[in-house]
Amino acid sequence: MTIWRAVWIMAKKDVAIEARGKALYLAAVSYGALTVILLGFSVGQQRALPASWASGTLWLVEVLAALTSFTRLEDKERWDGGAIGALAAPADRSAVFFSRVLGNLLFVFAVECVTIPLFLWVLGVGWPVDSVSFVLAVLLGTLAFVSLGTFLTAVVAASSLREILAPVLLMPLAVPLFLALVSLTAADFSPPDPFFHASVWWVVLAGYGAVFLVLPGLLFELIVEV
Amino acid sequence: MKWRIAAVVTLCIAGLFSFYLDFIWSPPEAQMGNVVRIMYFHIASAVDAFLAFGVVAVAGFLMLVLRFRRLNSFVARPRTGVFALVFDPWAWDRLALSSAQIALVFTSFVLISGSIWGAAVWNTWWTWDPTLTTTLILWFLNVGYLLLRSSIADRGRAATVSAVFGIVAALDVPLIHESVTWWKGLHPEVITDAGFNMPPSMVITLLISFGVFLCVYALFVYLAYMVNWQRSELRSIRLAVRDRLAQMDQASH
Repeated sequence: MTIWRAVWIMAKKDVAIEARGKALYLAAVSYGALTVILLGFSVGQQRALPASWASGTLWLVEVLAALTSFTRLEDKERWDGGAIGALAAPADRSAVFFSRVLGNLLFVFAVECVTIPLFLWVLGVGWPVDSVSFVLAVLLGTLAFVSLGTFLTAVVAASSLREILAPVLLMPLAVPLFLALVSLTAADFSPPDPFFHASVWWVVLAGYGAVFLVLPGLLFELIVEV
Repeated sequence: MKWRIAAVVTLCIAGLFSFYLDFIWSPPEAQMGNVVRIMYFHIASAVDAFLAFGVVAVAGFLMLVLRFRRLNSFVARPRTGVFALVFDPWAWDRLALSSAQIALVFTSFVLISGSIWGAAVWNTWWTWDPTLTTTLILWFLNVGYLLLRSSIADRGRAATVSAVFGIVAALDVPLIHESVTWWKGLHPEVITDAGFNMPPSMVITLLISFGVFLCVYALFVYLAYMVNWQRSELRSIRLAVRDRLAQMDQASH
């Protein structure tokens, strides 16, 4: 069995289980939507958020919504003994990691499809000026964040503090990613600025995504070895 | 035992000499006045904080290389003598833990001294300066590392996952610094490619401060290492006693 076929089979299993239950999707979408609404209350009766604020708060909402999925998948695997079954699969251990990334990615994209339009509408931000750049930043940023989050959830799996420790480890490591996404998204919400060097942030985003997709794949075997 | 006391006494004398240079011998700076004296502690402890976290990553990497058979098949291990310690993965693990504990002390000191310096010079306790922000993130990574280790009951698993986290975090620190620098820059560049932007008397004081802080780091790591070693030995004895009692209990029935 090739690694990609193993990834696909395991990811399909995760998504099918979640799709049958629907509870996690509903809970995560509700959580994201409620965060947006609370943000609306907290900024008061402002007509529209400034671009620089909007980009930061948008990513804060997405990060909080994504965090709900990471520990949930890991816990489910442990309760049902699925983790042992996945490790016994006749495929490279990194296939288990990439299948979890794919499962989480599809979940977070589904949540973003609801929360991003809601955020833009409720907070009066309006659709980004540069739609292509915005969508690309969301896709790449989500991939990098999900990859890092999935890896760190596996790292803290044996910890008695795993629910709180996953975000505590994730947030400091994700600072470069967060800065790149906030900068790129703020530029997408504003009129073109000749002094803004988007290429620097695209390099950070692509480099970060590449490193945190490849490195955890290489190290995953070690953390599930014991 | 005697050499340890001698090392501590020598370090105390060196520390007092460094204090003399910091507070009396070195001149006040033209713009900042006497506030500049904070810099001798601040920069030296910042170097130690980043060095200590580097040691965490390197020791963790060596622990993984020596511990996992697939990785260490090329290493011929001596079983006895002093060199046995060099090839002992648990020795590297204890070094990583000890260095992380001391890194937290130095990182906290950097943040506090930086804040005091910022309040006097920039008129603010906190600013989004790249170096200050990177140090704060390093502090969180350090806390995360120690929490991760202490919250995993299995010693082997704790060593492996914390080593992996230490390596990933150490690789991320330069990227954090660069990204925050691109985002916003304000920190005064005391040491640049051109050298030190200070008069020679201040350079000498700073270099001696570096040396003393490095020795303090080495001593603290050594002491923490011994404590961690004794703690793990005690744990092994406790487990052995528990197993023995269980065996005796089983035999009596």
